[in-house]
Amino acid sequence: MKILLVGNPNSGKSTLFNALTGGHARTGNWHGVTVGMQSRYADLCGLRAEICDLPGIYSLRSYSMEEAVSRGAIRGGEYDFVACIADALTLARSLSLIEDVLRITRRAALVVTMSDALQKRGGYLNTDALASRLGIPVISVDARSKKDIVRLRTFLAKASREKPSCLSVSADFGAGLLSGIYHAGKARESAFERLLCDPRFALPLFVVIMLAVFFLAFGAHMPGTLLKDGCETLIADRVGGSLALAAERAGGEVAAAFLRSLFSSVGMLLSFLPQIAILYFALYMLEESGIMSALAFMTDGIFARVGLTGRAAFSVCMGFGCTAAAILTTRGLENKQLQKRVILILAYVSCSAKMPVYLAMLSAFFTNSFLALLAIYFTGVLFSLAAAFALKGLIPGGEEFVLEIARPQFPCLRLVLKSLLFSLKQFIIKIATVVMAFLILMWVLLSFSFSFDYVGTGSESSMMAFFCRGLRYLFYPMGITRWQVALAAVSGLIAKESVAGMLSLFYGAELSSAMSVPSAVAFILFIMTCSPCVSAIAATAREVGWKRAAVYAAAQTLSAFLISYTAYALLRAGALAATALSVLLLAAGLIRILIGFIRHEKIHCAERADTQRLHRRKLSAGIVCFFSPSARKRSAGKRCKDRRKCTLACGRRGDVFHDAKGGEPPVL
Amino acid sequence: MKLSEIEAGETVEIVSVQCGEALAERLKTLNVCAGKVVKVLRFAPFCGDEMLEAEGVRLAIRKSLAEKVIVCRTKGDRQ
Repeated sequence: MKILLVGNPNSGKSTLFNALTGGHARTGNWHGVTVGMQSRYADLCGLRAEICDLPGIYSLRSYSMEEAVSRGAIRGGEYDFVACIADALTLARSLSLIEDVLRITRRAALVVTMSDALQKRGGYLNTDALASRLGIPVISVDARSKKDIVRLRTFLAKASREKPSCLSVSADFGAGLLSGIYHAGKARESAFERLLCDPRFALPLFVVIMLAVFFLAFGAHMPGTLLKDGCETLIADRVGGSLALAAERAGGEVAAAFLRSLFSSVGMLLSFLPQIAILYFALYMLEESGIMSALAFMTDGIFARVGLTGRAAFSVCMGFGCTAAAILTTRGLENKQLQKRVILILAYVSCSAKMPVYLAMLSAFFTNSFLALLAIYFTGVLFSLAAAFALKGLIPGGEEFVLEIARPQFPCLRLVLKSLLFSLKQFIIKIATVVMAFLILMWVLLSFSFSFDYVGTGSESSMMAFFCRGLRYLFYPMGITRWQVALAAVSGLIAKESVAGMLSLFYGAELSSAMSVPSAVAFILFIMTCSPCVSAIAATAREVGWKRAAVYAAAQTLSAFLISYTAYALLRAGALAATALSVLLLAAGLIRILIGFIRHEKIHCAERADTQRLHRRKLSAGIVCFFSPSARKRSAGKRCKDRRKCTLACGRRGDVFHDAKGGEPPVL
Repeated sequence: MKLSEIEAGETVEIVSVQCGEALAERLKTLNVCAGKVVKVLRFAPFCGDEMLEAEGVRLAIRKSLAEKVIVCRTKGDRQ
């Protein structure tokens, strides 16, 4: 028995899916959370059924990409029963979808969610009357209440076993269907909803919330850091230390060194659990509350300037948790070109796995790591906006933006904690399996020479040193001469946590001996702008194909190198060079904006002299823009075309002016 | 007159929606089509979008799209 969950976006399908199957589908109070089909088995009072959670659709004429998934599933016919999920507060709007579904199959039932909100608003719904008018069973539930879920199970078990009503109910799906049996209650905005969308209140509120979360997690003497230090001491020193001591006493010197390294690395990584928990908790609370769509509405103005839409705000916020998850949410964006641009810039939004690296570097080199961390996250967002702006010309594509604003509600803590525990479990599993396996392999390669003699971790005669001899030349312009650091940076491709793990493997707590302060800053910039880990690259491949994903990863890594080289050069050359470059960059930015404006007016050509001057400026702007080498090449080609076209047009005009003997009409 | 010319707080009735089919279809499912009454709630900062309310559904659209929606004022609903 296969049951499809179909309904408008943000009607509670994924919440019901999780409740019925015990699954962990992503939920959130905004339109477009679910982007793919998920199936899981559920027990419906003895009946074992496969429940499929689909992305929300408004009607069977798809608009965005993930809606095509739902349309395909419904029309495909590979299911036994359809459960239409509708939000009680916008029931009238859901009728068109229900009508479309009933045209395809009559083996269906209607589940109306948010019945508690409807009651609070003073509305009502007569489910029996609606059932007789539609010809299918109808039930009204509150998706977050355990009692209602039990009722729903019984309802679905019964409805899916029943034969569909053979009466050809010519239900009049117009306005008359709901008259007399349904009232939506007061539709006026509550004071809180009004406040939330008022930019003077909501934007500062959002900034304050973010700052509070960061402070709670990373501020000195705050719960985040205290728990972190406690965890680290427990795992690395107590457990690891005692095991290593025991091994030493038993005579295994190698084993002792191995245990000590392993436990200190793993301990350091697991100690970030409290801080990551705080971050994820805040993220889920934000998602469940419904502030996200209000945020998208308010920030769409900024995103429009860089060629994106407000929906990118969802992906960026998700990117603070995990880049791979954020890339999956890009499927909810309006079109493919937009999706490609957002996927490219998500690399600059620092995910939670980069946090251990930043903290390890910052605590070794800077005294006030909280402010520095804040600066890093903020710079990451600025970088991504700048990259989006640079990509606007490279991947042009329409930006229509229509978004339904979700109703804010107080998040259900039980659901938030459930999602949080699931994410933390994933983090622990990732550390305990992938990262640990990688670290063990690395330790072996680093501590043994080719003849399998133990030479000490990070020794110059180990196997890894041999392989990595060439790697460090890539990092010379950053002022990093040790191959160990180069290896740590490159290991970020596997998982960003392993960068921190490797650094601790080599240097333990004495990171400051590995590089100078300018190199540390360059290294941090490299980590911030480098291509994300393989799971994110795999997610990219799922969206845009393997070839493009590889090109994106290469372009991001290349830009990361260039950015960190420049940063190092600047820091070494001193404040004057930094100011000079900033002025140059600002000028280039202004010129780029000017050129965009002028190109628009190109057809209504200005005087010939002006155009030539501007083309010369275009050339210089192209040299300074170093976000991606391919951008340079492309604009060069475009520049040639533009120059030829414009000179041709203007040449004609010039000829007309010079040869005007009167009477001849200008040829343009 | 165009929807983009309407001030915040005004209620208007939609006469026609002159954009591509897919977009018009999406707007229809959100209760923005010919004959419906919508209220302009507010405008976003940074010269951004406007938020509309159409029969219980709150949505945000860009100024470029609002210019393609032709409306006329209903009588007496000014606030």
